[in-house]
Amino acid sequence: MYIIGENIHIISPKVKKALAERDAEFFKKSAIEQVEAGAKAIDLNLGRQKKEWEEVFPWVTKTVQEVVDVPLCIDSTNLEGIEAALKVITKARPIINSTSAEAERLEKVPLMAKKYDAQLIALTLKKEGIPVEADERVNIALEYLIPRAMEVGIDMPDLIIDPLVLTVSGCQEYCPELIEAVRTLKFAGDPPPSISVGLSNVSNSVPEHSRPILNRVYCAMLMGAGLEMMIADPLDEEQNEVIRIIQLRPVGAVSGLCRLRQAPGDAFIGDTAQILDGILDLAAVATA
Amino acid sequence: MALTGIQIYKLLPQTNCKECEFPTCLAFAMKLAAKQVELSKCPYVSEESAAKLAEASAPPVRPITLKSNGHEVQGGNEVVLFRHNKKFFSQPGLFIRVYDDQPASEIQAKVMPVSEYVVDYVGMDLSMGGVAVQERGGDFGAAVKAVREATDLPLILIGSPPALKKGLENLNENETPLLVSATEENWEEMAELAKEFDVPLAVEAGNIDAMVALVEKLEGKGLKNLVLAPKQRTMLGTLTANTTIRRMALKENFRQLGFPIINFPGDVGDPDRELALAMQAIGKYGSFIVIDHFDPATAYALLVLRANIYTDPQEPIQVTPGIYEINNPGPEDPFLVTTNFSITYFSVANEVESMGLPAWLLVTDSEGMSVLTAWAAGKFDAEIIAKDAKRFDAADKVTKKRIVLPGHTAVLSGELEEELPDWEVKVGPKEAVDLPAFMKEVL
Repeated sequence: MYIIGENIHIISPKVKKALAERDAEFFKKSAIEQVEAGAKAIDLNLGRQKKEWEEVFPWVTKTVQEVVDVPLCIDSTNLEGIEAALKVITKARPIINSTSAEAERLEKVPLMAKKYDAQLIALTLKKEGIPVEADERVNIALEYLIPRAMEVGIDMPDLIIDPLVLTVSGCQEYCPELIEAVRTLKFAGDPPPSISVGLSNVSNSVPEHSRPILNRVYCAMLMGAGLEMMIADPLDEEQNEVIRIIQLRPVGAVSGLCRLRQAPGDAFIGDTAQILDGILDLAAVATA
Repeated sequence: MALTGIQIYKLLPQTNCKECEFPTCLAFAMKLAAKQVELSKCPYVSEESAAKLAEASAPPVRPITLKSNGHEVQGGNEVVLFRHNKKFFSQPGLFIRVYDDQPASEIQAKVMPVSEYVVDYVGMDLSMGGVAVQERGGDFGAAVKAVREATDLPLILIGSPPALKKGLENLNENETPLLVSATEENWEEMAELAKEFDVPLAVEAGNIDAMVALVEKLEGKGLKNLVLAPKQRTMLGTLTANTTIRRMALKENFRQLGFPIINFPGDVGDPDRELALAMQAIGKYGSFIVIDHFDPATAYALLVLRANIYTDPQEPIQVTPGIYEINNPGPEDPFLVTTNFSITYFSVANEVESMGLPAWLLVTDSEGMSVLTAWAAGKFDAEIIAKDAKRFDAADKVTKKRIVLPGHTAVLSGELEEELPDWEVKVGPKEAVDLPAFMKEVL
């Protein structure tokens, strides 16, 4: 599982304070700690920074780049800010977070991704808002995001479709739709585009203590549908344990939780149905 | 239930050969799911998949349309149990019932007002669905003829096969009435009649199993256009029957119940209970609703209820933004501002119109939202009001430049004064109903 570490996020008071005080050590420490915990990339969410983007974006990018070599994911709706950050990237290929299917952004952002040879996260979102049904999200990817990426010359694996996780508090009935969208997007191209989601959105506005369990369960379900990349908290050890166990079970076998671990490093193709069948087998054995 | 993109994809060859002119089988599957392309464009789909796809793509509730001389009432074609999941598509028809033992004059006296009844509701014309003729020992053929002289709305013919046959012979071919109904006893005769005249046939049964059995018998005779007529007449009875039928068709894709429903509130006699049953039928899956009492007041209530339930919840009913003149205003009269959600517009326009005082009404482009919703969504603010005032040349219409904001958005007055420096900005009442008093005293 390719985790993009989400901990450098402007809505967190500590990050906001550190940014205001240009506390470079804070950002370095957070980046190092996330990479050591397994993050394969670091998301830098600095918000719009309407006034100070010209100075803030490059500063944070350079600061973090000094101590980690992983790709940096520039996360903002301020296009000029993103470009200012991209200009100072010297190490791994960056990721732009994000474009959507809205005409204006779909016009500009992919061009910027091509110009700076960056991977591009593309949200299945149009002006009218977030579609809820799986097919609607997939259709946005098929009819807007993928054609535009091809038009600009972005290779499919560099296009990262995000079908947008909705929170269980208020949108519970749509959570399965997102899983189906992920399952379907695996076939959306030849070769298929990458797929990623913002995992912790599933527990937005849920009491703090029950957010981790929700995130972990949803993560397991999404891995069952074939998810291999997500923006999440790499320091969540229990989440990482769930990922490790799921990744250890070989193709076709029941989820590691239900059977003795096989040899590590087996490739895995997940499917929620297989996991459920496994649990049923286990139940049968237990009651026999 | 219609198949999703991935379910269809699994039935396709999954080779991405592009002969269907789509980059991938999934893209083709998504177009199939949205019914925007024919399966035949894929030359390699297997027999078995083609059969499955054909069956799945048939509408879960078969559309049945009653026709006559340019009038239509469609039932069925529904895909959701609750309007907020997507929308309800086929507005039910209200049918007034007459009996064949009533004299022609009495029949026509009852039918004429129903046929001519039409009323405007937020820009939509509401009217009755048609007429039901019921056999009751009189001359059924003559009754149908009498009805036809008074109206050309679609018909529902209720009675025994011989009576219905006489009624059908009085109608021209391009009409499509509904025959009511086939029962355990007369289904074979009714099937012959429906096939002979090629018209839809209602199937009457007291419970779901009997209904399914009868449907299967009629389908065995080659009949496809059926309407389901549950025998229940109580509030709970019809609610349970209608809901079970529609849920089985939509959630379980249960073909034998995938048809529109006809209800008979008129059978209960008492007008008030009839009205309640008719309201319930409109909300809960009735497509053809037969009532015995008609008066404009209750008809208006039923038709407005129908309009509210059968409009698309995602599409607010909008009026075109612009300047509307009320009671032909002059250069001295004030400008009132509101948004282009039709119910907002009509409540303001109707209040101002009814009081007789002239006024200009500036309707902003707020994507069909009401005043407060639009203000909260940033679609109704000083900038938009000023922009639309300039766009529609409000200033050219008046010498005395006065503009009145809705009371709920008084907070905008400061900014609006900046945006429209040479206008006098006033804050009106919060509710449209208080406009007349406000305009008399303040303006």
